[in-house]
Amino acid sequence: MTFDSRDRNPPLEACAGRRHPRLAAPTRREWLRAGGLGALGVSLPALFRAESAAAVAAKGSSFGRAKSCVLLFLSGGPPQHDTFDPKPDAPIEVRGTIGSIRSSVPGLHVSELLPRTAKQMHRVALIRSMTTDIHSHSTSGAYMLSGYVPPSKAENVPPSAQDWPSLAAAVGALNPNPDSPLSSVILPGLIYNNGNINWPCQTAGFMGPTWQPQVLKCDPAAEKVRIEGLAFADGMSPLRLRDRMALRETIEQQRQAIEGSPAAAEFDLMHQRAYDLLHSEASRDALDLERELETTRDRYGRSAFGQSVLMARRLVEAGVRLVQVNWSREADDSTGSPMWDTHQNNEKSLRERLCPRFDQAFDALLADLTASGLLDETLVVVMGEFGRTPKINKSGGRDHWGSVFSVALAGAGIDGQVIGASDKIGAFPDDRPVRPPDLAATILHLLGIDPRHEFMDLIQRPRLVTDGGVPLREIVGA
Amino acid sequence: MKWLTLLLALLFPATILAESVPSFRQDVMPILFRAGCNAGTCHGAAKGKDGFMLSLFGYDPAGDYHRIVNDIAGRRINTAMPERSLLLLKSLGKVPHTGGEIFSIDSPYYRTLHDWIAAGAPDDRENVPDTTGIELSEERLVFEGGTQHAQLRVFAHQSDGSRRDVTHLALYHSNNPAVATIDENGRVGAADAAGDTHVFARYSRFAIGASVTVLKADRFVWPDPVANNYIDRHLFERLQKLRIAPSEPCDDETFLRRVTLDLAARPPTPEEYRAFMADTSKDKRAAKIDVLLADDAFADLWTSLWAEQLRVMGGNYAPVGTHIKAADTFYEWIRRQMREGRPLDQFVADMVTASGSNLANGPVNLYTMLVHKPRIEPKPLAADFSQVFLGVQLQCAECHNHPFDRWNMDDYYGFVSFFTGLSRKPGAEPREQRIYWDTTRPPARHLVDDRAMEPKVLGAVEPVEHDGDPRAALARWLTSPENELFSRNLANRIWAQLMGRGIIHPVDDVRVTNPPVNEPLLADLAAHLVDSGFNLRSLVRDICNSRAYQLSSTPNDTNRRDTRQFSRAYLRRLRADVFVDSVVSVTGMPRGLGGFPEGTRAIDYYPRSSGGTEGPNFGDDVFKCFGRSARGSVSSTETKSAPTVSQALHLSVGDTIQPRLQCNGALAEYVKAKTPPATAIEELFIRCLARKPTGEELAGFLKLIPESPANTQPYEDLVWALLNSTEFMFNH
Repeated sequence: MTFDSRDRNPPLEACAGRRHPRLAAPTRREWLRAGGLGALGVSLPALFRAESAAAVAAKGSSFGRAKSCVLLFLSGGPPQHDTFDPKPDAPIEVRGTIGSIRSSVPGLHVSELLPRTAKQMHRVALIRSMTTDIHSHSTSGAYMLSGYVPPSKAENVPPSAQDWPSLAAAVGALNPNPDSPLSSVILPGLIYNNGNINWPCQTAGFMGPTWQPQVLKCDPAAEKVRIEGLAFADGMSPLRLRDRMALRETIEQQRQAIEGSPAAAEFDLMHQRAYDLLHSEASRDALDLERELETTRDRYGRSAFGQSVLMARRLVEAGVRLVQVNWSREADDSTGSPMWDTHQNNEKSLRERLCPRFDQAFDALLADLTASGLLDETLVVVMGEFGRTPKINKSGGRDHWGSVFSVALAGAGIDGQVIGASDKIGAFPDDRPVRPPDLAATILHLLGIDPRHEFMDLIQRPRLVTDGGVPLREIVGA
Repeated sequence: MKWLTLLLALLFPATILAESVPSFRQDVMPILFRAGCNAGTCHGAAKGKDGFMLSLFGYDPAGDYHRIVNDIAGRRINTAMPERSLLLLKSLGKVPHTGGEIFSIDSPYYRTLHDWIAAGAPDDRENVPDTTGIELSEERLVFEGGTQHAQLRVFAHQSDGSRRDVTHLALYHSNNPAVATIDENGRVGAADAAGDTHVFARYSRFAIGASVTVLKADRFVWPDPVANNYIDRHLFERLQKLRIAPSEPCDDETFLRRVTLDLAARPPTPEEYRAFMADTSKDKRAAKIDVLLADDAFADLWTSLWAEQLRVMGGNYAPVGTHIKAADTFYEWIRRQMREGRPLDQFVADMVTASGSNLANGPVNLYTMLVHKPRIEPKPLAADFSQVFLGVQLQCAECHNHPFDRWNMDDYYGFVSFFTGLSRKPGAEPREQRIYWDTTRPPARHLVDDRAMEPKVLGAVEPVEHDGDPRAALARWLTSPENELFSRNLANRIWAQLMGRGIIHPVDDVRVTNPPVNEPLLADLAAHLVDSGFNLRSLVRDICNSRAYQLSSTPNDTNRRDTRQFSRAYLRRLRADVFVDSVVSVTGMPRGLGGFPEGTRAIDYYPRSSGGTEGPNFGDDVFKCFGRSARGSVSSTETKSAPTVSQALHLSVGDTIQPRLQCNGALAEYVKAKTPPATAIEELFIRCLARKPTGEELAGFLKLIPESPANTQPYEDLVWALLNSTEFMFNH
């Protein structure tokens, strides 16, 4: 998103008396946030119930240690053998020709294509026994993103209004940041299979619009990043919008005709959110990558993924609870098997494009968060929808494999460790299989959301946040 | 535990505790149903669960007997040592069972299963009576003050004429536990909230409900409002019983805006506003309604509503007959029927019986558009047909008897056979397809026993008589004045369009377990529709002239929580197309919509192609953003009105409002003519919100607009604020 510097907001006092002397200070927003909707009978699940200190203490010191989460989603399915789970002793058709290197954890090897990541491994809890047992992108992806077993294992099941809310939706709704216009963000767009078929379980699903994470659709690799829907039409500016919102407020305060209607209150809430998003210094700045040094932008890499990760860091600094960065199709991508879906030429794609881009951005993110001290309260998760087949196929690629793959977690006080293991050829879990509900429960627990928390769905049935998931004790402690 | 046993002993009639051998169909099957064993989430799933399958909700007792007793002989049933039967061990949770413990060992259900196995797990002999219907001991319960509980009893009527107490074998649920609860033994309790709801019992393939009313024991004075017509009499009778006072009638400004948006799909013009406000005649509201009903805009709006339901849009693949040219023909045919005031029964019958070219004969496109598929598929067609014209969702009965309604698999397959002969052959040109009835095609076959099912209307026992093409018989039955499903469906949909909610809601989910909130009202609306000769305008006129339609949306102390009895006007967010047309109407600047000539209204727009795998084609992003029906299905939920941040962003900075403000001639005119700001502000309020500004609003805005503004900017900001207001976005 770009803003002309002339449009930058003057300080509040400077503009308060400029045009609309008596229309300043909209306060209904605070009222809405303070539970005004609840008073109207709207079931806003976002009103997170604060728990007693004793109840929180009982959940252990890791509960709520993360204030924010950056979820890096490597769409397409990264090959575990060639990233976090090399099998140097396996036959050549399994291990391939990509070597492994030592990491900062003694005895732990990772792919030679992740040299920077290797030096961060002492900060990483590496799950090598993740399993969904589903081999289709969209449903295994839906399982990973929602923590709920999908009703079908088929490929290309489109999203529906009955979908489970995603982790991003649950975090944004159950633990929003009242001081930020954005609580849960997806960058730089939703994940879709070829043919533009969106995956299910990426958004709020059956929980409706108040749970919706904000999808900031953009091309982060562009010189000037323009976010869809947030760009101002000609003749509009943030300043003018602010004036207009004040005018609107005058009308809203006169609305006897629609007083007391939940539908109207919800609509108004969306307006306030949109206004916050368009107007607030925090979100505008956070989304403005031009505020970063060129050298910093270079450090993350000028790929769509690298720049999205940089934006994610800025959003987390601005108080956003969860930023999900989806690996997206890049300009130089294969059209048939895009992103990490390396059915052909696995090694070449990994060597030339995929691994360097990930390695660079992941390392830069951990380095910056470490330097600012934010890593202690920021959870970084790296996952894809599944892994890839042990055996390299005739086209030099690896195919879909949900039976075992790797997931990495860092930050939020997590110690470097390896959880679980795959078998000799990286085909099945050898030890401690970890399923998506448990991973989801771990992430929620660290973010201060009880995985056993119940919320009411739209027809007032109680639902658990995860599908019976239990946080991984290796990560959250006993 | 002791009191529980006592209670059960009291509840259970002698039959089950007696020494006689339990019957498989009469005693065992109902237990499997009640315990949830044959539910869709357990062994009733299509492939069963954990290696054991039962027919869903027990539609196939013979098959279930086979699977329990004979399948892998000796595995589930041990007649020598009944208590070692896997069926029993699983039910007690003594061996690993995904469903856990279902019964305790001293439960009478366990005893029945045990005794049946001990007797050799016999199949029923031929003469076991079938259940023909069920009955509740009470049809209506009213709780007030003291009495907070009541016991319901369920009786099964059997084919041998006997009546059997099955209270202990039925399943129960409440439609609104906040008002009334019902426990597993059929005991109803009043909950905290006052109101009314229904509780239901299910047994065998039947479901039956009793209405429950919970009244607060406080002083209530019925205000005795004047009823304008029969609608108000039914509504007020209900409200008085529920101790809810309706809101006051709305003022003239609100009425004018409401009725113009509802009947003409746009806000009133300033000229209409002034004329109406200046009119002092007593019947000016009724006169206004008549004027709007006579206008083509009314017909065009209803054309749009029908086209949405019938999924009129261009297709991507010409050989299936859904080319945009066919959609155009169909759309214009619908428009002609609406403009000419064609009786709705004839309108529907024309479509049902149509044959011939999709390009020449509009109504035949019912069979190309309703199911946009490469082939004519009788099953989805039958299901969608029934959902649109009857409001009934039949598709459950494809694989099992409908669990929450009276339709069974015979009804389903008999109904499907009205569509099995539909065929298509290429016409004179590539876009043309001719729809005809192919008498050589066989009827549908029943899923369970593969019987050929001759075409049969819902609920009938015998197939229809016909001379080759049964659709004439279908149309006769469908549109007959005696077919209440049809007239009630139309009446309910028309009511919902004007009142924001169906008397049965959602309008396309009519079933025994989703009863109308006001049965006499729905029945009378349907009767009036029939009496008027299925005249759409006549019923709309009745509704708009009722006091109910003209109530204010402002709640009072008694109706604040009412969301379904129509005790006040419910706020309705403008439909996506009406919203776009309203912005255009207010600003005087058209908004181009792809594929149609400049100036086409949004309500006249339908997609030129149906979209692809990336999702439906809305034609314009504003439609998608504001939830216009994607026509992806016939479901009423296709049209959405839930608010989203994207909508607010679109209103704030998107391309519907802002570009229309900058080139508005009217605003420039104010500047040029040096119109006094107070006049201009008032004019803009009337234009956008159909009301004058309040004193505070006027004072506030006057401070912002210089005596003679140099440019239109202050006015642009004002109009932006008006169009972004909640008031503009809702019909209130």
